[in-house]
Amino acid sequence: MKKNGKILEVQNLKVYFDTEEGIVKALEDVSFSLKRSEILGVIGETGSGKSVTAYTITRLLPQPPGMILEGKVLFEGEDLLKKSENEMLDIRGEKISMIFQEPMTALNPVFTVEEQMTDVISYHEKISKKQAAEKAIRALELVKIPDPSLVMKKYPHELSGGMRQRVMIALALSCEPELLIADEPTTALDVTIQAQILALILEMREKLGLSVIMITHNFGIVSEICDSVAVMYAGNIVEFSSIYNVFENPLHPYTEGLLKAIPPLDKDVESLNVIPGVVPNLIHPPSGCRFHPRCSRKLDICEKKPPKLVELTDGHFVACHNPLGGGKR
Amino acid sequence: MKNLLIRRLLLVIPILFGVSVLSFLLLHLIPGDPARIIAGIGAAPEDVEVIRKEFNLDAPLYVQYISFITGLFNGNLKSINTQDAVIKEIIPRFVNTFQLSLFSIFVSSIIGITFGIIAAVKRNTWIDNLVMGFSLFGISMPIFWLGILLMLVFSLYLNILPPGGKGGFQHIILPGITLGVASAAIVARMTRASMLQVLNQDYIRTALSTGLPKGKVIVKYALKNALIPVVTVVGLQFGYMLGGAVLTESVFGWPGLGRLIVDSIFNRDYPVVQAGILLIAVVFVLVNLGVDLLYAVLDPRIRRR
Ligand SMILES: Nc1ncnc2c1ncn2[C@@H]1O[C@H](COP(=O)(O)OP(=O)(O)OP(=O)(O)O)[C@@H](O)[C@H]1O
Ligand SMILES: [Mg+2]
Repeated sequence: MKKNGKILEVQNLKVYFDTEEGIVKALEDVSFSLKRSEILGVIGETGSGKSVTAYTITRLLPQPPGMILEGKVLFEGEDLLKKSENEMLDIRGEKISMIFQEPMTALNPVFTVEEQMTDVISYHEKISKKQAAEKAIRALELVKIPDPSLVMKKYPHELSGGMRQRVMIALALSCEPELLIADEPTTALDVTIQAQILALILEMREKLGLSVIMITHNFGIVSEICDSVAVMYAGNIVEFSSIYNVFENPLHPYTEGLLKAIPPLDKDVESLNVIPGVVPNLIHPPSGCRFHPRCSRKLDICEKKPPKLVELTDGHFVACHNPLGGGKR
Repeated sequence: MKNLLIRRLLLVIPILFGVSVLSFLLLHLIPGDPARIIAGIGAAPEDVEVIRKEFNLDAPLYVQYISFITGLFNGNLKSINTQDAVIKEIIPRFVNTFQLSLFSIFVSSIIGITFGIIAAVKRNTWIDNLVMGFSLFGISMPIFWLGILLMLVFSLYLNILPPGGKGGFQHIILPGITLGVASAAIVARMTRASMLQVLNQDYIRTALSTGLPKGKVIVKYALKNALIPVVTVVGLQFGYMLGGAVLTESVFGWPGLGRLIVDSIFNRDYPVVQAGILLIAVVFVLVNLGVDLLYAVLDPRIRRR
C-alpha cells in the first residue's frame, strides 16, 4: 500500500491544443486525487476538458495537436507523464483501463469479441490464446453476460448497445486493472440499461477493489455511485471534495448552479442550461476566473486573477475568490 | 456466406448473357452490311458473298448468336487471318496476360498498401509528402515512358534483365513492375485516405487504451477495416490489367490479349475481336464477383444477409 492510500494524484495539469484557429487552452490547472477503491465523479459541461484529462492520464492524447505543458500524473507514486511509450504499454489495459461513451463504435466491427479480448489478455499476461480465451470467458461472466462462450464468437454488430458496453467493461477489466476511467459510459444507453451498468461498476469496485474515475455530465449519476466529486469548468477543477461535502455544502457558485438543477438520470446538464450564459471559448478564455462572466457572486478581483484551488475546510477544495458560506462553515 | 456466394453467382448469369449478346451484336451494330465490313473496303462482290455464306449472315439473328457461341467452344468460329479456331488464338494470349496481371497486381498491392499505411501513420510529415509525391508521379507518368526507362536501366546499362519478349520469370519483371507501379500509386492514395479515416475511429482508441502496441493496432485492427475500400480499387485495377495492357505489352513485346485485340481490329479480324471482348467482359464480371466475396471475408456486417 502506498503511504497516503492514494492511487492517483493529478497535479496542476496544463494541456493546450495547437489548432489552425489558435491555441485551445483546454486544461489550465487540473488537480485532484483518488484513493484506492474510491469512485470519483468528474463532472462538467461539454467542452470543460473531462475527456482531455482522461486521455492525458493514460497518455492517449493525440500529440500533436495536444501539448502537455505542465503537471504530474502520479499513479502509485510514479509520474506517468515521464514514462516512455513502451512503459505505458504495461500500464494501459493492465493497470489503468478505459471505457467510453459510445458502445456502438468502441468495439472493432470486423473482429469477434473473442479475437479482441484474447489479443489483449494474451499480450499482457503472456499466455496462450487458449488460456486467454478461458480468462475472457471469466471476464464476460463477471460482467453478467449470459452465455459468454456464445458471445465470444459474435461480432459487435450482433450485440445490443447494453451488451456491447458490458463487453467493453469485460475487456477493460480482463487484466484486473487497478483503475478504471469511464468516460460517460452510460450516456448512449437507455435508462434501465444505464442503471444496470452503474450497478455493475459498483459491484466491480466491491469485488475487485477497483478505483474508478467516472466522467459524466450528470449529477444524478454522481449521487448514485460516487464517493467524491471533482467539478470541472472550462479547463479547471473548481471544486473537489467528498460527495457529502459537495452536495450538502457546495462552495463554488458553479457547483451550486449545477446542483440546483439535478436533472433526471436520462437528461444531460447542457440541455437544461440552468446557469445563464454559455461555456467560454477556450482559445480566448475570460481573464481571471474563467467562470466570472456567468457568476452571480463576482468580485473585482475575479476578472484579474485566476483563483487557486485551495483546501478551504478539511478535504474540501475550491477555486473561488468569493466562495459560498463566507469561506467558513 | 454460402448464401451470398449462390446469390452472387445467380446474378452473374444474366450479366454474362447480356455481355455475350452485346459482343455478338458488335458486328451488326456497325452501320452497313456486315459481310462487306468483314471483307473490307474494295472487296470483290463475289468475296463478299462467300463471306456472307460462311458466316451465315442471312440467317435470323438468334441463329447467328447461337452459332457464334457454339462456334466459340467447338472451334468452328475461326480467325479470318489465320484460319485457326478463335479460342485457340485467344486462350494462350489470355494466359500470358493473366500472368502479367497477377504479377503486377501483386507488386501494386504490396507497394501501394505499404506506402499508403506509412503515409497515413506519418500524415502531414515529410514522409507523407514524399510518399504522396511519388504517388502523384506514378499516376501522371506515361506508362510507356516508365517502361522504356526501366528497360534502359535494367537491360541496357545494367544488363540484368531481358528487355522484352516472353520466356522465364525474368521476362515478366520489367513489364510487371511498369504496370504495377502506375496502379500502386492509385492503391497507395486509396489506402492512405481509408487508413486516415479508420485511425480516427473510436475502436482504434479502444485498442490503444488496452495497451496493445501501436504497430499491432495499425497492422491488425486498423488495416482490416481500412482494406475494405482498397479491395474495390485493387479489384478494378486487376480487371483493367486482365483486359490487356496494350502499351506495356507493346513496349516489352509481351504477347498478351491487349495486343492481339488491337492487331485484330487493324486486320478486321472480327471473330477474334468479338471473342476477345467477350472474354474481357467475362473476366471483369468474375473479378467483381471475387471482390464482392473478399468484401464479405473482410466485413462480417456484409456476411450477415
Ligand atoms: N484533438 C483536439 N484538437 C483540438 N482541440 C481539442 C481536441 N480535443 C479536445 N479539444 C478541445 O479541448 C476542450 C475540452 O474537450 P473535452 O473533449 O475534454 O471536453 P469534455 O469535457 O470531455 O466534453 P464532453 O462532455 O462533450 O465529452 C474542448 O474545447 C475541445 O474543443
Ligand atoms: Mg468527453
